[in-house]
Amino acid sequence: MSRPTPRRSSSRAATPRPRKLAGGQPPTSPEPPEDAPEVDETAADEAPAPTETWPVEESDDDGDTSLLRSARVTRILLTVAAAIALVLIAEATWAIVSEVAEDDPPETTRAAEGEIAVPEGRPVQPTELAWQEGVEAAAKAAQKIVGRSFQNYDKEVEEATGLMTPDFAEEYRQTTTDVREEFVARKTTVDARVVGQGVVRANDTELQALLFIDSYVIRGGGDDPKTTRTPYRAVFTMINTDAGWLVDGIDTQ
Amino acid sequence: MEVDAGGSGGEPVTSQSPTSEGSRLSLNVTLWIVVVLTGALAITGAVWIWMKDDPASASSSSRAGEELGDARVEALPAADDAEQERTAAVIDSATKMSNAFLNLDYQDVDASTEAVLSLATGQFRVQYQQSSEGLAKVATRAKSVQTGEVVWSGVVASDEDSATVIVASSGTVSNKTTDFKAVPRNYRLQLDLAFEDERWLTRDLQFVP
Repeated sequence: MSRPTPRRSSSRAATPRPRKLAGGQPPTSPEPPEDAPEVDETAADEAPAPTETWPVEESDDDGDTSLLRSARVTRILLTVAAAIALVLIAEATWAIVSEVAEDDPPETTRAAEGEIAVPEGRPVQPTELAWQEGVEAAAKAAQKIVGRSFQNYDKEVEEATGLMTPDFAEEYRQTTTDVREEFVARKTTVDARVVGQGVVRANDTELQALLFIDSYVIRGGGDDPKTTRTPYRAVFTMINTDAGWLVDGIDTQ
Repeated sequence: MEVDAGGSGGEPVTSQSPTSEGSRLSLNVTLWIVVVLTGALAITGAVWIWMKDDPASASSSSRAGEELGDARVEALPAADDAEQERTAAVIDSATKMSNAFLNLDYQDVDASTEAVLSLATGQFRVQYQQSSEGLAKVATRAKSVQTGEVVWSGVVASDEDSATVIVASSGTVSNKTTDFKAVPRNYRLQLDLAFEDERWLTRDLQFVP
């Protein structure tokens, strides 16, 4: 084993001095440059070969390249690459396990007929502010959709369809057309009042609002109309659009 | 043995020719590219896993962007996990209370009243407990059997320690008055809930006529 020499300790110390020695250009001959500082012969004898004395990685002028030529950087990069490989393996394992688990009952509750789909255990996903707007829109729409009079039947039906999705509007027109003749003949007026409203389910674009509706049916017109109050409950399916909330279905189970 | 001061020790100092330095440079550059690319892949994977595993961000509809005539479906802002879980717990508790309250068999009134009391609190609990003895006598005398099932529960409003829920139920009742025939009975209920001892309990229950 070699004994430490002043030159060795000097050239490997963490000071800028060796870097100055290295210069910006590797030597082309084993001889040191003329402007190299003088060293005693003993030290010179024990000095490493010129290619070691002028290591490119210690050059200030070529720092980026010298860093990439370092064995230490190789080790660091290998370590990081190995760590990333482990992370990727873990992620891949998770993905495979997750896919297998989804063969079992999915997290998202399968929507029953007439129900919107929501994740299991999360019946209401939007913020309260968001679903309150939807429920309020359902309550207002209910008064327009349920309530109508024999005097303005067609106009009110058409206005109500403006609050619906195209598909549901078509369904609604069909239903109102079926009952129109009797409704007008009996001089019927229906007034709807919502006495309770709440959100049943809500996902990222739709909600279902439970409404307690009191329907007042007035028949006969004239001076002696007969009024019947019918309390019932309905679920309005609402969908959020850039034109506001639209009614996409009504369930009066 | 001499060691490279930049190393961890134990490694011999070797002479490096320009060729070996070039190889080292190529190796490190390659490794660097591999690390950057695989690192980006790992980060993408982590984000994907986080998105997929987060129930709060789980999208169950994704009708966003769908055209409905002249309108386009838009997504709603999602509540945080705590709010979603709280709403679910409120609905669950109101549904359980309503089912307990609406099912009564004169042959086992105690089971019904105990079920209700276990989910009740405050003045409502006190009043129900006080009336339970009378309820048992009336139900036994009339041989009353009431069944009920919650059809829908809807949250009216909620915060961290209180909530209001409306419930629609369907069921039947049979007693002396109905000549012991099951007659349909659909109810509209409103419940006020309070969060006590880490549970949602009913502190008021009213029929909405």
